[in-house]
Amino acid sequence: MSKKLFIVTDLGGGDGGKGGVIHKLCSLEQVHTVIKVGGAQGSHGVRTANGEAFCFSQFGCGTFNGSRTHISKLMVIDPLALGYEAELLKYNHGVRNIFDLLSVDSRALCVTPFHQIASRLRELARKDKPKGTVGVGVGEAVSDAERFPDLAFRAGDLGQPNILNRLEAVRKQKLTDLAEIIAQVEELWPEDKETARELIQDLQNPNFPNVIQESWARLATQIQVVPPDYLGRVILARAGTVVVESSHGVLTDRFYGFHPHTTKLRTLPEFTLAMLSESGYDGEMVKLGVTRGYQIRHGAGPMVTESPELLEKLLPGSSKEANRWQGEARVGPLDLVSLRYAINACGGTQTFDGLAITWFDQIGVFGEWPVCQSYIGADDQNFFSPEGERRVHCGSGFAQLEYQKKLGERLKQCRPRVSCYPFPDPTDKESLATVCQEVCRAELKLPVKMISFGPTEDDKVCL
Amino acid sequence: MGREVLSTRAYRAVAEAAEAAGSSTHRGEQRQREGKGLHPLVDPSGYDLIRRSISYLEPKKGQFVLLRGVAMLIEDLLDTTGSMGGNVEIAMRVLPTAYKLLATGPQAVLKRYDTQIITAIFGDVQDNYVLGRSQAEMDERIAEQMTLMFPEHDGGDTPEDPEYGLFGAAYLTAADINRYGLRSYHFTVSDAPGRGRMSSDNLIRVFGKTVFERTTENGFQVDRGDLPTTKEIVTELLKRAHSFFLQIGNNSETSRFWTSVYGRDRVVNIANTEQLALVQAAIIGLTEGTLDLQSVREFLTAEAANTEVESVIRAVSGIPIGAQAVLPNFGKLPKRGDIFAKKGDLWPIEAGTAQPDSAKNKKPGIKWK
Repeated sequence: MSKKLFIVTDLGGGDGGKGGVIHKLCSLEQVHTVIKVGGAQGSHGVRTANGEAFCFSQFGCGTFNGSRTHISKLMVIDPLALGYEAELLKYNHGVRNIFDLLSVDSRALCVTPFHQIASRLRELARKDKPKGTVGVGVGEAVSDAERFPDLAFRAGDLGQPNILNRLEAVRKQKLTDLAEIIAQVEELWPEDKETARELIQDLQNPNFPNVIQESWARLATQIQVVPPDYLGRVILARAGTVVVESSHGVLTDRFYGFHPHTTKLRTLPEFTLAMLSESGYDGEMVKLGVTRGYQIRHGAGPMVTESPELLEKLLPGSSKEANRWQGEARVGPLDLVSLRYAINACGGTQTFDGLAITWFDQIGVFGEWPVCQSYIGADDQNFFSPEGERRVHCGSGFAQLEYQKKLGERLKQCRPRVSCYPFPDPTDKESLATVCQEVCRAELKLPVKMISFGPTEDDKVCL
Repeated sequence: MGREVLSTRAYRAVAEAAEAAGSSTHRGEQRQREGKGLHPLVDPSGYDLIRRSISYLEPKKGQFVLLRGVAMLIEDLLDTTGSMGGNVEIAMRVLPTAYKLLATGPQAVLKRYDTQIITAIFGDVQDNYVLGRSQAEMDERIAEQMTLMFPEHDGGDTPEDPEYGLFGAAYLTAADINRYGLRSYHFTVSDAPGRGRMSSDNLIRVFGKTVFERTTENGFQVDRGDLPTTKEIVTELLKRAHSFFLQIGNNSETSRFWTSVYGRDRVVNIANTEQLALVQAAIIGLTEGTLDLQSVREFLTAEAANTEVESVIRAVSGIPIGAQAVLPNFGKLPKRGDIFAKKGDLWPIEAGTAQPDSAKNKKPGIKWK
């Protein structure tokens, strides 16, 4: 019985192009299930050769290929958004059996609208010191689940009749947590005040818990909530191919990203590997690191190679739009130092079987590939090696966050040393692919397994 | 779109709940009482604005099976102003008959298709909700979404404002059947003339701020400073839908207005909305060529009294018969059970199944692996 599993990990701060990579894998391998890990705030764009386009958040990027989605215990879900996403897939894309294609681990943590409100109000209150958030409330829900485990909601709770008091307790807790911001709403930026007032009004609405309970109960009749052993007993026991789709990227990991510009989630593949091991997975495994051919960051946080002048050239066609919560998407030459850090944070090159390089068609139009090989100003030996590489500082907890925060501050002072690799024939995909392979092999010590020359599955080449 | 066909049992469950609540639109009315506005499923600006009728391809072993035939869309745009205020109640009541004649009965006129129905209602332009428009559904959700509508029962003066509903049908609809070169069906039911024009403010109020962007995305250029007239909207609609105006009663002003818009052969006079199921099925059967003027009598007799049948036959005798059957690909449509390589593919991959000439010249994309 042949079993194969792909783990797809974004080696940047997210937005690496995982959606297209996973869709391609599902097109090639007839993937029976996509396992979701991470958070509901992910937005993975898929564009098919048949002209369909969708940004997947909680459903897997293999949905258009007929692959099932399993929301694992490592996923934080937004139930209301899950229902809405399902309706969009059903009505706009004809996936009529959308709920038949979904299973949800009963332990998956749930975001409530109160967490979302809190996340947004906090970001508004930060004014010119944004953290950079998607504004879904995943981080808030994770923090609260650690602070008040009894108030946390899991997928298994969704249809339960006795959750009203708990929802009300969460609402009151958020009112307490946000009392200072609520009291100082007039101090916010003028353009944010109306949004803030609306959010506060919703939070103060005593009927809101009833509405949530009603909506959750309806969703619970539609989704299949499964016990913890379902992953190992049913999904991983089945012959065929599975893909693990994670949200975010290594550089937004809670303890290896750059505090505070991180998610509360863990985004390293080791957590997925532990879950698979617990579930007794014994098949073949292929681990892919994903990055665009250039650096991108949608949200605040250090970005050494940020180059505003490249924005117009690189971002046309991107599904990433500026919004109040994440701000503008930023781009720049591919940061190899950052990639090496991400690979090392995941355990080194042995953690990966290869790379998927996306959006390379946009690099092709430059005629050469600009990459950052090292930094100017990476002198502090506490944070950089003698060769100027970012040090991976292992740990968790407050001390680790402080270290990562300082590393982020050092990075803001670094400048990139950029080299350009010329393409012998920029119009020839073979030529582009050869340069891509050679640079990645030399600089990152990993083979390239997939290159994307465009948005659809037909534009992606597997090597 | 649901997954199954409309079953009597499922319909009864919805209809009985409506009856118990005293109204076919009880859920929509309840939402109004709670200040929630129109449900997104029937709000013309809800979800994607564009209503889509998509053939259902069920994934199976890495391929896709066309489970119920190619999707065929029928949209009913019902006047709910003044004396037409009971139209949703009637549409709900006649739905089982309509569905049987169209999709599930032994001689159903759309048997080879996956029949999907949009119900739309229009009120007065002064109303809070000028238009309600459901999704394209094919099971008990057709009835469920009727219960979400909110007819305000105002107006009743003439002219009326079906233009916004017609605009949605013409510019904010994407039906798979059109990809094959065939047409869907659209019926407007009213007793009054239209206003002849729209305002961009009201268009935005009905469909939301993105209406012009979405219209463009759907393949149409609509100038917000020079909106199409009723006639121009219907002319556009007729390119993709066999469209008819079902006139209740014989008001001459109404006849004159809609005849100038649709043409004489597409304005059908019927006695009351109760005849909707029979008239609709007869028109579709004649257009598809599955019925002729002789067989239509036998077809309808099982469902209605002789006088009613004769009245319907008289009403539909002038429509363009066989208009669908002469269109390209009419005889080549993929069939139930056909296998497709990818979701969204137009033609199946199984040997022996139909392929249009244009497909033979299609070059494959670059695939290294």
